Amino acid sequence: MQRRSIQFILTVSFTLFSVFIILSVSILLFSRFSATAQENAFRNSQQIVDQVSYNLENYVEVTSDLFNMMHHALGQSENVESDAMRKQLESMMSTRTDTVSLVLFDDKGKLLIDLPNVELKDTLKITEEGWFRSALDTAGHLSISLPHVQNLYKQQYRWVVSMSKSITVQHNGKQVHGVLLLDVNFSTIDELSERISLGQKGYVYMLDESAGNIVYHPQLELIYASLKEENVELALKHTYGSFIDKSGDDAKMISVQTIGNVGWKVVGVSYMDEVMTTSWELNRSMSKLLIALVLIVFLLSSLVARRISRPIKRLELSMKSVERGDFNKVVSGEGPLEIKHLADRFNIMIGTIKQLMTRIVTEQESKRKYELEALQAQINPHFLYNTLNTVVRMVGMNKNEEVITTITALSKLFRISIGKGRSLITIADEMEHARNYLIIQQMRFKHKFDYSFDLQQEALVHPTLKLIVQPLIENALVHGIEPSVDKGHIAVSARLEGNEIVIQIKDDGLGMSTAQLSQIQAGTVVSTKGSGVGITNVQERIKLYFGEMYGLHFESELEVGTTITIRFPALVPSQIDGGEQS
Amino acid sequence: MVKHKSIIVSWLLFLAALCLLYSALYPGTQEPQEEEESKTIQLILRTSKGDYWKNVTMGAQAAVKEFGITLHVSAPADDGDIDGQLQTAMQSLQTKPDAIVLGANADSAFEGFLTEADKRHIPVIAIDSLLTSGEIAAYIGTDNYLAGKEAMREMADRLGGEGDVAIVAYSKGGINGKLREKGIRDAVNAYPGLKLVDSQFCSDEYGSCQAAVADMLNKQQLDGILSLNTETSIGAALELKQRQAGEKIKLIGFDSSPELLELLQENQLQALIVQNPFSMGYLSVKHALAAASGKAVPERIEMNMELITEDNMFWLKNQKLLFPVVQ
Repeated sequence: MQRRSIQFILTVSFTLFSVFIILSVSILLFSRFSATAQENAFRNSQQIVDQVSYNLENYVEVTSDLFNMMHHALGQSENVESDAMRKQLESMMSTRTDTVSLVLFDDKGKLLIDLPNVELKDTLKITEEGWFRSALDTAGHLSISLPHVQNLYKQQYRWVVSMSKSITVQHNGKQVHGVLLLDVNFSTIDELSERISLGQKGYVYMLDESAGNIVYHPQLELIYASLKEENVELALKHTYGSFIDKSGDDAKMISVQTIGNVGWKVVGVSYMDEVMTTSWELNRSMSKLLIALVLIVFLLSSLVARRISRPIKRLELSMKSVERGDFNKVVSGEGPLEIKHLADRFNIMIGTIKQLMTRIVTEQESKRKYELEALQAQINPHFLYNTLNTVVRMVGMNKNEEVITTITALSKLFRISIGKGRSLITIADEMEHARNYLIIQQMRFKHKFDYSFDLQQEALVHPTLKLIVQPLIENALVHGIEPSVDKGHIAVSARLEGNEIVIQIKDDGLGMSTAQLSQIQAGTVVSTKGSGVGITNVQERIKLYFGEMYGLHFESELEVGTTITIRFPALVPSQIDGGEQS
Repeated sequence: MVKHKSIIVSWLLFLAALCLLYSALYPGTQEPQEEEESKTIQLILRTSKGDYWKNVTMGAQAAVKEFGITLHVSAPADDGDIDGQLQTAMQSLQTKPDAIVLGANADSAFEGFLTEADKRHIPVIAIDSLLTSGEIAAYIGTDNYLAGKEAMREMADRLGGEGDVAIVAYSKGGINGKLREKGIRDAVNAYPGLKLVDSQFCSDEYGSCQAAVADMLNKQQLDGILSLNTETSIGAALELKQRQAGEKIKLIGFDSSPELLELLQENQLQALIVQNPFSMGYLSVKHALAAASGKAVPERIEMNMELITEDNMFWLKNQKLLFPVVQ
């Protein structure tokens, strides 16, 4: 599983949480608001439709009143065709500008009164007209027609609403049954509806309740040509109220109000997308707000997360340098309390580790020393065995003089070798040790070689590691002198060069080839002969005590001889006693 | 460097958040930008005269209200003024409308105009008269050929399938007149008893048509007359009225006007084939808008025509068609 960073987890979880909260709040608010907006839109549209209906109802009311006045006046009149009657009717007509005509027919369809006095159509068949028959059929009832084109006068086709009612009048002294017809210009109603604004696209239409016909519609032609449909069913089903119609392409809001006195319905149609614009606007700004808040929350939470994770990262960084081995660096505990505690603990831990490490290092070092010292001890039995063999041989040959010399040298050798257990001795002692070794070896090899010492007085008081010259002399004897046919010579010198002690062991034995030389330099040659304390041992000890830059240096040439130079710092003489025995 | 970048990004995000916040809290300041720009449609009529084109304009206006667009209407004063109309059309291209609705006076004369409109990617909707001389987005009009056939069928019904029939055609009737005449001529073959015996042209004044009809009637005995537009119908009806031959000689006309309806009621003519110009105007603008928005538009829309007789002229359905203007 891929691990996520604290910063990532914090940022994401904060952001997600806030998004969730903001989203739920805004959804709640939005649904509340749009419900209210819809309610408002309903109320608004309903109010407009109610207003139209009220105006229309009122209009019909007033017009019916006029009609009834005329009806009453005619009914009371003794002769309907008198001039007085006519004048009275004319003045009544003139109170309203929208009255088109007033006509009175008897029940045979004969014209009795005609206002204004315009020629009627020749082809007119009054008895076949709808308004005429309905007035006669339902006597005493005022019938109000649908808007229609007036078909009375020559050359005139006007849109009117007709009011008709049966009437009994005195005509030429006789009682005559007839029908009174008042045509009112439809333009008043038309304008009333036309002027309504239900948004940009909304409109009002009127419906005949009984037949379900559309009485008035701004796009009536399109409806009759089936190019447009109006969901009449919904409006017919309800007498009052606002509804949402989703039957068409666009959702519409429909408000219905019924006009009692004519049996029409006023239906207001508004387009939902217009009605709910505020709601959509709110929606838009809400989503903007949402994005803005999410961004801000994201930034803030990433800031907070960084605040938290940065000290941790810094801690990690300083820990990394510890990882690389830099134990002296102190980890800084900037930041919150927890981080400080963590850093403190880490620092304490590093301290402990450092202590443990120094202890291990010292232990290792002393272990190494013990090992070396053990190695030093190892020389003695081997050498002793060889020497004692020589002594036995000499006793066998009664060479007492030589035995004494050998045993004396051996005892001196051991005295220096043991040297109170210290690893540092003076150069004078070391040289004495070497001399005694050479004496013994000369006894053994029966003057196969001779030797010389060239010692600088100032150098002799300085301390040196013990047992460094003898192994080199042994090496010179074994590899240089012994295999050689000629009598060899070993020259040992010691001198002070500035602050350094330089000891040289020079032989004129076989010498070494360049290949051998480089092997020796690299320390890869393991000698099988000799005491076992080889050149490598000497080299290592010098390096260990005095540092890497000191040690042995070899110069050799075949058939010429080998020179080994030891170089180490000149220590103060008192260090011999201080020692490194701890 | 990376750190530097992330700081810049954070600041940018913060600024964006502030902008959003501002526009969310004060949405009003951006209102004009969000308002959808309204399309402009140029309507070029054949003539500014006559109820027919008035109704086309009314239909177009209804669509304007419904779709919230801008409409410019232009028309030559005189029907048949090809040069004047072409000039108007070419000028309208300069105003860069989103679409043009054109009731053309001629076909081939408008070739250059159609090419130019096509070059400017302005869709052209032909109404009333089909344009074949160039690329048009759609044609909306009455199927005049079918209308001719329908007129002949009605005539045959009224004559009982027997008699001599004449045609009075409008001299500037253009392709519509020709299609109507073709429809009539093709339909007459179906009635062995019917014969087309004469055909006359007259200009746009009904006086001249009346004279033409008088000539025809003086020449021969006729049982029926088919008049192909408003003026010819009025002329023919008036001549029949004068000769008191109404009803005896059946007259079937095209289009409507108050005078014609009056004559219809007087039974001087028996039927009128009436188109629906309001719907044509409405549909033309609706489809022009669709074409301007790059939507697919049906290539050819043919409107139904109504056969109006004395009996059905006051039907609810026909009243608004015949008397579109509420006075």
